[in-house]
Amino acid sequence: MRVSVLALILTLLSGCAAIQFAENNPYVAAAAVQAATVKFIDESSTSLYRAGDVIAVAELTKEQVNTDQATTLSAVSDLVRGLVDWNSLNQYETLLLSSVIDSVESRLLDDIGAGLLSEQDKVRVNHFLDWVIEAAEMYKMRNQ
Amino acid sequence: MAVTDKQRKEITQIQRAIEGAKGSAEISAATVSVLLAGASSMFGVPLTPEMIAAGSALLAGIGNRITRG
Repeated sequence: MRVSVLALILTLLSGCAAIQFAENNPYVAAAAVQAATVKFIDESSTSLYRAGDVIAVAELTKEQVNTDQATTLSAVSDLVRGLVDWNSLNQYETLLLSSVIDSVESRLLDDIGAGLLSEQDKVRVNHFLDWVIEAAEMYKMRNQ
Repeated sequence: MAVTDKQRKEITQIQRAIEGAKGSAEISAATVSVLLAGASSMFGVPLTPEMIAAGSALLAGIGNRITRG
């Protein structure tokens, strides 16, 4: 079973086209965001509570974006940072979380720029937040 | 609790994968490693660390051939 799963993945990923796919495809970013989310949640001794907190922060951020209370990327990232209780995190958690927030902001700045968020830009921001919510919900389902 | 080298490396890989890996074969292999590791931990895909390393090494080899043209 393991060998067949690995063979399938390697078959899908082998070759130049697959390399280009991996470089340019948003699913690479999605997988990284979701892996980081799971790592961040799993670090906590009360991981199910943390999963709930992560979902709450992402949902609240989506709401602020979709109701035009956070109208630029900078405002969105400030909002997320402001919702995190940084004092409760250890050194690794702090580094992981701040790195993910910075990376997502940097990626989105490259993609959509620093101005006011258009309707299309909001969709892009929502995608990143949905990946976080999906990963946290998946974690809760698997560990309840 | 101090951050280990392994943790720093993982964070760097995640960072690169999120920000995009344009035109670098070395980085694309790293993103695949993150993909496989992420899939393993998130979805319960039965991949051992050795298998993830093997997959990444294969992709790194392909990437190097592309780089050499």
